[in-house]
Amino acid sequence: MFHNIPTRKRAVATAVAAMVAIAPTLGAASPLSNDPLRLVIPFGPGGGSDITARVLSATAPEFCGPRIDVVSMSGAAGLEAVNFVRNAEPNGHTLLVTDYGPIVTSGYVDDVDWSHDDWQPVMNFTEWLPTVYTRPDHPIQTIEDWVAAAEADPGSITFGHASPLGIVHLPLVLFESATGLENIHVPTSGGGETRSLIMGGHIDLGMTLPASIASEVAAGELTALGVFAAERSAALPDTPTFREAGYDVVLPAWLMIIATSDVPAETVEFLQDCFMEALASPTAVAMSNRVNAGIEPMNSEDSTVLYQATVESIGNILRDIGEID
Amino acid sequence: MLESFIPALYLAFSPEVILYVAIGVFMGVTLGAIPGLSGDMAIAILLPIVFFLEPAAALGLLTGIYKGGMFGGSISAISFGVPGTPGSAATAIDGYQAKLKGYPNKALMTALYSSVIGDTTSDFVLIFLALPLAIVALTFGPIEFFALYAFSLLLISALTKGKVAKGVAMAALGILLAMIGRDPMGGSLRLTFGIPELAGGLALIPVLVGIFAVSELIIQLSKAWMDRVTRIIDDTKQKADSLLGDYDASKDKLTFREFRATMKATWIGTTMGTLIGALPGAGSSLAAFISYGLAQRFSSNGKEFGKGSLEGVAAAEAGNSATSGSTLIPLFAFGIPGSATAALFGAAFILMGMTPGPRLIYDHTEVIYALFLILIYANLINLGLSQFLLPFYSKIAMIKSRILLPIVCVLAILGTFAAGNSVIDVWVLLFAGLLGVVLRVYNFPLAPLILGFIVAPGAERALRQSLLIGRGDWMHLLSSPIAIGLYTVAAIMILTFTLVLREKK
Amino acid sequence: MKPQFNKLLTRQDTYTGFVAIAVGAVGLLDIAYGNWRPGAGLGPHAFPQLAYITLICAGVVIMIEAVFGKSDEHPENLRLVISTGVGLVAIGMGMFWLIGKLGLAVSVAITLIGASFLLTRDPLRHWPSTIVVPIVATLVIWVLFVKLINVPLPRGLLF
Repeated sequence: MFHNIPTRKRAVATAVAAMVAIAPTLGAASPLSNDPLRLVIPFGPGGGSDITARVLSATAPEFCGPRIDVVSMSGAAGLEAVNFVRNAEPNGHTLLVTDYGPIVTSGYVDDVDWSHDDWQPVMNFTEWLPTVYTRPDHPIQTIEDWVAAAEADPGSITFGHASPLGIVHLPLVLFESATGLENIHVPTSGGGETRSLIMGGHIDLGMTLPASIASEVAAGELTALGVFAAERSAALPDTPTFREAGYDVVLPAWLMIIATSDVPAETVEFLQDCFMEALASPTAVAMSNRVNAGIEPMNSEDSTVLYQATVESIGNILRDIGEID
Repeated sequence: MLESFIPALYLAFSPEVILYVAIGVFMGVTLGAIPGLSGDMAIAILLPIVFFLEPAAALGLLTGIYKGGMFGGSISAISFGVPGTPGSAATAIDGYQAKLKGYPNKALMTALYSSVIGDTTSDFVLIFLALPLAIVALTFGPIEFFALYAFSLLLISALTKGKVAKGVAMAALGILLAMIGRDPMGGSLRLTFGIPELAGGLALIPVLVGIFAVSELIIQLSKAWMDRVTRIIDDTKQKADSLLGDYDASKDKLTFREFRATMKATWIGTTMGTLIGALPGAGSSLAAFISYGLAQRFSSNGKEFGKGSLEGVAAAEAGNSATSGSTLIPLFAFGIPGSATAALFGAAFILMGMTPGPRLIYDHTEVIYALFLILIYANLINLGLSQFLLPFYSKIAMIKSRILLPIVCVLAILGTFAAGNSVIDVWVLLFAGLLGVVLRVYNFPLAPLILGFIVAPGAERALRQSLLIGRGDWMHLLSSPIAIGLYTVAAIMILTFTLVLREKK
Repeated sequence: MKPQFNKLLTRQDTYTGFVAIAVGAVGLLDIAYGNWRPGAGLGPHAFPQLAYITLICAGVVIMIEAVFGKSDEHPENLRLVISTGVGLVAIGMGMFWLIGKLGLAVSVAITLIGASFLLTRDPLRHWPSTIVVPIVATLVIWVLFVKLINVPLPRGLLF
């Protein structure tokens, strides 16, 4: 979908070449043709996954060959993007960039004609660590404060989160089922609304991802209570994990590039290699630091293990709360 | 402050940056004029450009596109009755009537001037009043938002004159259309009729372009078809032909007197647009409709609204464009993106390594000052370039309808697809067009439907959030002075309007 | 009473009002007996319910007004306009189907030339406007959507 001015000439050349010849020209090793690659994101433009994907689309063409477009398809709550990738030719040119929501959660709760086994991770960009935060003048400032307040008066604390069962809501569900605490869940239209409700004093707590609040936390304009992760977030080094506080609730959200499982193994391997190579390049590292994306690439094999573990754990949570049988 | 102002001046007024702003304005006006395509979409496509350009140049390009797109939507709204962007739907109401009455140029000029005035004012507010306004915006929680949405719905139901019942029915229908899809609060599916593709709900662009634009196109196409099959020319056709034949471009010039007469409406639009734009999540189409409604109420020629009133054009277009500066206020003050456009600008900042928020102006003073300067002078470029471009676009609008209509239809279909990359959106567009036609031929007003559709999701979310926070106590809705104020103003306005209307009768 | 009753049957708005009431009633029945999941606080059915009730009330007022003098006229050219609408929907869907088969440029050109032939009397004599203009327009559209935006449309065989 994107067209960068500096690459216009190359893009036109690529397109012309793609029109006349079907055979790839980029070395015999590449299983890709000269058609552009499409990284499809199931969200609107401008969000964290969009920005992260753009770091790759700006750096990877050099290593992979064809131009890379980031396409945002938020229709049908992201399912349209999933279906678009699923119905595309299995040649590795159409890939999904997503967190676990539209694939793992949707695969359980929505009426879809695919299963979790129809997908294979190509690589993992990063793991986002869901973080609970509030304003600095709020009486609750630590995990202990929160637990104490919730035990003293159950169901009194208002907790803002984006859409139900999303990546910044499920950790709360998991935490409540682990501790038996009760909070009022207030769904919002997204991170922006959650934050303005917290800063305006309309709700008590909220959940978001570290990158979006890191600079405010450092400046003392917001307080991060804790992260639902095994280890502390690099963006919020002073914020404890829930595990440190004695609650073993860990539910990070990965951001993976996912292909359909009928894409040939050598294509997936080629993509994994050139993506990893591109993200290790100095330009990509500089860009990743600049946009605070925290990219730590993980190869296809490890990503698959992580993917399957998430499928299992999300399934358990959803069964727990009675969303699925 | 001054020491960074001088380099910012050099930065903002370097020939390269000025050129990029001009290119952006040109792209924005052109893309905005195509139904379905908007400045937002062009910004989303060009976002990666910030990797390759200097920050000031990249921001200049994006700003130009945004401002050009704000006005561009009104070109097709006035020329064909087909709003090019969601914000220009209210402009189409009077703008297209003005064109049919033989003064398209006056309407276009009014739209351009009011757009630039609204936009510029809003930019100054952003620069000088960002923080105080942002603090006011933060006091808007669910309770206040519900009051605001209720206020706008009441205002709009009072907007339809004569056939109030039909207007109310349409508002209800709009609410129902907005309810389709996954319930944003509980997660269950509503009114999807078993179609999984409807789970995400109906998007604004296809519904709005379909209801307003495609239905208009269908009616015009049927007229073109009638011309083809019948040789007998009926009265209206003759009249329309003679109108075009007699169309005297020298008479169709906006006089200073007419311009001055639209100023009140422009300022109403500017004020409402700036205020509503600063609220996260309210949006430019709502601002345009509210401005239109208020201007009609306060105008001495309120009866002319809907019949080609230049005041109507001015109010709607000023209201729409005045959101453009103020929508960035929550982003600059707190790093909260209040609209799709603000989210895109936020992403552009992040891609440049600048974190949106209160620290932005201290950490990157030069670039931000340069952006402020660009925001202001981009309006002048928009004014100049659009005045230069308008004659060409008007010529395109004069191409015979039998040739032009299919092209506009195809553009609307492809543009809507490109806006969301969604096939469902195209089906929604076509069926919304069909619905719009049926409603039009049965004399149902379309504006309340769109308003219901725009307001319902926010109103529902705000009400249900309020009741969750207030633990189900309805009195909680009256626990805020702002909310009580809004309800009181709404009540007073409706009372006075009904009384004033009675007296006039 | 008789003339009023006659009005009720002949006036256009009697029927539009009735349709509004019917839609509202069906909707309310759906909420009462359909598969609606209750949510926390105010449920997901509250707003639709409010809209249906409003629709019924508005329909009743429309019908009352129809009887007591205020009614909109029968629409002109109803059949023509509606069939044009259905035609446009069919052509639009057809064009989208064709894009997947033949590619964007060819499909758009066929659609545009076909439409101008339909709408023009003696189309071959007006060939500059019925053939040349659509082809130029197709080129512009192709450059804009395929080259610049690269919309993710299904790729066809040709262009």
